[in-house]
Amino acid sequence: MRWFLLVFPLFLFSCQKDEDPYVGGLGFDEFYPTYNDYNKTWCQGKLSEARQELAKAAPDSEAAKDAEKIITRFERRIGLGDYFNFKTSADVPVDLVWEDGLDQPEDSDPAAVKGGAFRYFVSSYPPTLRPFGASSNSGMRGELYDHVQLGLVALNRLNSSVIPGVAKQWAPSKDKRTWYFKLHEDATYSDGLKVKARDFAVAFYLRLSDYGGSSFYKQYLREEVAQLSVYDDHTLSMTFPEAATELGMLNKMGTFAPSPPHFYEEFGPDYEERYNWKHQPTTGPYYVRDEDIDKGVSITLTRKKDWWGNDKKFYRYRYNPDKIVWRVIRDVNKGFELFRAGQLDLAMVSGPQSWYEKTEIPKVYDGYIERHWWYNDFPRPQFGVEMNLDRAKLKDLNVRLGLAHSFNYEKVIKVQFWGDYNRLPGFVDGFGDFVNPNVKAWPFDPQKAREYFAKAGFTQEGSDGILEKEDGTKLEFTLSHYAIKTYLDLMSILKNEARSAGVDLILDSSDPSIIFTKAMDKKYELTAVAWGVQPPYFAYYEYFHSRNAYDEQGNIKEKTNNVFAYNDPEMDKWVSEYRLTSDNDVKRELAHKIQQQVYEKCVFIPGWKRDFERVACWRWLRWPDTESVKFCPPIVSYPYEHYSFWIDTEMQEETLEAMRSGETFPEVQNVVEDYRK
Amino acid sequence: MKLFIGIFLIVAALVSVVADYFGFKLPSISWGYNFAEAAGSLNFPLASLNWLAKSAGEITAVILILIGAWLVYSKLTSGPPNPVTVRKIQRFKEIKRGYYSFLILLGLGGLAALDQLIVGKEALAVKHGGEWHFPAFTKDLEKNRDLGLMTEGTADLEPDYRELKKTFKASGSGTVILPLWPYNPTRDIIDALAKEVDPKASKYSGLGTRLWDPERPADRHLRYTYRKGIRNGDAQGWNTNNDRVYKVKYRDGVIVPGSEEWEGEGELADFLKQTDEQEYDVSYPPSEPQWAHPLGTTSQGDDVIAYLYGGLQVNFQAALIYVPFVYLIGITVGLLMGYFGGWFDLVVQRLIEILSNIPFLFLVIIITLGVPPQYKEKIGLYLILGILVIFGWMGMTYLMRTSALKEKARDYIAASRVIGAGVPRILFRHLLPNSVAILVTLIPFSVSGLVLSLTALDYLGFGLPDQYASWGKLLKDGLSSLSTPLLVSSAFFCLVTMLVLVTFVGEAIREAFDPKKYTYYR
Repeated sequence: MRWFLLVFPLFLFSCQKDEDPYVGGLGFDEFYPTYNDYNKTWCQGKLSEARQELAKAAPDSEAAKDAEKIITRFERRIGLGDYFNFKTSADVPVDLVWEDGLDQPEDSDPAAVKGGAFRYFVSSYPPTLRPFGASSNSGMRGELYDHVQLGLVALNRLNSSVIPGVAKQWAPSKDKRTWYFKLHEDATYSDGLKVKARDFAVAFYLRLSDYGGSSFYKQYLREEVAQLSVYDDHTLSMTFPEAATELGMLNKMGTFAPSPPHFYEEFGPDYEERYNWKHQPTTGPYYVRDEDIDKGVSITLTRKKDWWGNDKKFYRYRYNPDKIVWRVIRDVNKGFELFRAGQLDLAMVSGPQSWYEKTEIPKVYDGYIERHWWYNDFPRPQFGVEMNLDRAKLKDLNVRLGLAHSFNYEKVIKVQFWGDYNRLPGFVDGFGDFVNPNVKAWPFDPQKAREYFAKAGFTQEGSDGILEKEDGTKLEFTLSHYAIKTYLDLMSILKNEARSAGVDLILDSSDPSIIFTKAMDKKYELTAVAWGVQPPYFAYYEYFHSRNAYDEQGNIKEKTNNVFAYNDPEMDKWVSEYRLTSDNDVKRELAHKIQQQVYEKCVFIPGWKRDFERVACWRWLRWPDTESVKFCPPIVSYPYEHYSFWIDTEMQEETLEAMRSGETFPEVQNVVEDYRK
Repeated sequence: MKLFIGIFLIVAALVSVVADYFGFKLPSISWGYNFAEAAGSLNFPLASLNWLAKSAGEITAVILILIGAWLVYSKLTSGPPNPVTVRKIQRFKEIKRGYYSFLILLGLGGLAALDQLIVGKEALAVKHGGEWHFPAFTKDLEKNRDLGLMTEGTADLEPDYRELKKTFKASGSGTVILPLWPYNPTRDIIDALAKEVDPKASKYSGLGTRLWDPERPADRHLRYTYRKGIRNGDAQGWNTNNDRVYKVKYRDGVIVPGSEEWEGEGELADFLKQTDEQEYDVSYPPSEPQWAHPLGTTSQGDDVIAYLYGGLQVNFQAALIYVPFVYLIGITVGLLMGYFGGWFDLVVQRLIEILSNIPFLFLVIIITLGVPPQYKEKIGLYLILGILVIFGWMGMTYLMRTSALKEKARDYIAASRVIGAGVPRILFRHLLPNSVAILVTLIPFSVSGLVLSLTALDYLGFGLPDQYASWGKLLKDGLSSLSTPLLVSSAFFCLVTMLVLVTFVGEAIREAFDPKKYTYYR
């Protein structure tokens, strides 16, 4: 106790300290000249590194060519001048061809009405409300920022074209390395202040600064952007190290949003704590009032009635509810019960059991709750099994082919997913015509698997039915997978079925984050991890370039997406070319080649894909229904993320009244197959 | 009793050796060999450990024979039974609740020991082409080829004996004798279950499915949505490759005009006629109970009855391994502490305090996370039991210590020391028999504690590997799929029944062994 009394004043003191306002100010003006110097030095460092490489490498070798490419790249970057580059309007080239995307079809429904409240849930309370910095990538970033704010430009979710965001117009330079943007003059933040071109530089600064705690952005902005130029209040440009197509630009920096400088006046060393529970004003229609942050319980977004985007094409019929309430409900089943009780407007019921059994309830029969089955066209996560080529047993192609024929995903789909899902054809799917149609999953065929294993030398069979080599090497593999119920159930089917092919799968289930780290560090034999993939391009380089497999000394490189340890000079060439080219036809051809190669090398056993989402919602939650937009545009992963739905408050009252009086409506089960591939 | 146990141990050990030699599979007797088979394929870092693992069968057999022989010998050489013990047993039998519980538990144990005779997917005997095979009793995995079934593409696969029985019955080309309950506790996935429905007659709301083959309910032909016995909503049709080829919408029993889509080969009308009119309510894992599976299946597709049986086996097996080890360690350490006292006593007391203050569940979780998956998979049960033993022996040491302290001051100990008896003789011939009685009363409670710990660990997901059925896993499964309440209720019922029975026995033993019974109350 006495000890406690001694320590107690210290607590008081440290509490007091937090209350002091930070008087450092934004600090941008002090920062950018220093960073310009740093960036120059860094480029020069890279340049001399590459020159040394070139001197070491044999002439005309791959390494020499690579080094030469790097040298030109960084010479060009140094030639550009300052990283943060402030110019005048006169410096904008006059011969630019400006695009505004206004000829593209609108991906929402004019029938939408504003008003009402949308109530849904998240499974855990976010550790922070900051858009960047530690743990900002988890939790509700999409709900608070990414999905409800406007970046420079945006992706049209109907046809993958580029549509305006904060930028009204955009134009590439001749070499397509520099992209110019003209901002909407009336664009404001949700607190009413104007959006200026300089705010993008501020957004860069905040993420590049040591105080920002954003190591990803620090590296990304340094390497993927060569220069940021600000011309006047509404014009800016970004220069990339390599040429970029329009979609490539969108992919790299297009969705980047500005940061309001006035909000970050207290930015400093304690940024992460100071701003932890503050919601940054955005370019979007929603803001979070301080009293609407109910820690551990809910977060409510409020619509700004006079939002500047209210009458802009592509945005006028989106972002309709006046309030968006995100409740924290840790158990999905509880979420469903609250939905049934009418406290939430929506429930995702994509799983077969939810769809066929849990939603077979009187409220559905009576039409109060409606069900929608909507096929989308979004990149599919790679549900399947990855193999580690660094392991001796898996270096043999015959073993890999044998394994591919021993995984009975057909049975998994039939039994576990009630025949509703399909087999994933290959590692990459859902990218339109960038998917090679010749790539198909290998069928489950134990007899054929045994033939392949026999070719690899596994000719004998132990008393437990597991194949062995003559030297006693057993055909057993450790399969690391998420300890999630779906996986636990389906892995036991796979294991059981693989035994008939003479394969012993040792299941190693663990927390998803542990398994994912294991995969990235290549400390596994077989694993079943999947990435969330975004349109429009698949990042083959990350998954298949040998640089992401081994370092210069030939050691395994950890923390990369090349979980296969895929190491093939030919593949390296293709994936690098794919990354650099700005010609869509070349890209498509390369993508097909890469996929074919991955298929033939058999490093991934495709599992299943779900090419739809299923939704149960109260009937007052309305969804688009026009010629081109049925329910939700196709290039969206979860339909509510597009915010093209609306709440019909009249219908809400009517429904509640009907429920009281016992009146019923016809049952609605709406299957939207317009976007099915 | 002693004689019986002794002879039983010797016979069991000999049978296990013989069975192993001839390649017979007798899992409930050959525990040592089971362990050797599982652990033998692991590569332990030490060569001696490898040897130990590989010859665990023989070692166990030798130990069992020695114990059996000692039991027989001591029975034959000792005089008439101790009248006090006889009276205690008599008293135990008089406490009917405990006694009958004990008999029931013995019966359950016997049932669990029958193993593949009762529950299993492998046929007990197959007669085909004039030859008899006994797949359930042989160590080697029978293949279709071995049984003379040479169908293209499946010759190297394990036969499905349930299917085989049906085909043999139909064709009369052989005989298959299956176990009483022909499903494995685990690793025997039952795809889905189908129940016949007549939507019109029963005013059925839900899905009515027509199947290509009622024996394979996962292969659908047509599926209709019914509301109060009338087709209402989407209907779909699949070909035999499970590709969807037909789609239509019904409203109030009639097809909505223009909603029909047919992508298959041939005529739609023929497609619709390919199966008979009977519709089924198909239930996927976890399936609802049906006549053939009265408790349904788990969400991994295992039959719940077989699974419960497997869980029972695991519990008995675990108890029979755990109890002897824990008591061997606990009694020995307790006796030594009491007998020697001094610094030894002090050091071991501190050690016990440390061990009993470690949060046990956390430790198990940490250890299971660190163990390589191969080890967990092959010898998971033994690992967990090992950990449980390490943390389970402390409770009884203090009891043993107290009674050893008390007894060692008595004259008969002094007398035996005077006539020159060594420490082991004093400990095990004089001290142990006179102080062990109190521990007998603890055994049932150790067993119930063990069952609970195993269940808790399985429930938390840090327990036994997948190939073991366990009630804890069933409980967890049931709680996450509450729409099939039989899962959780059957696991709960079994667990509670087992614990109640064990506790009844424990109470009865305590009562029977209570020395104060005649001194205080009468």
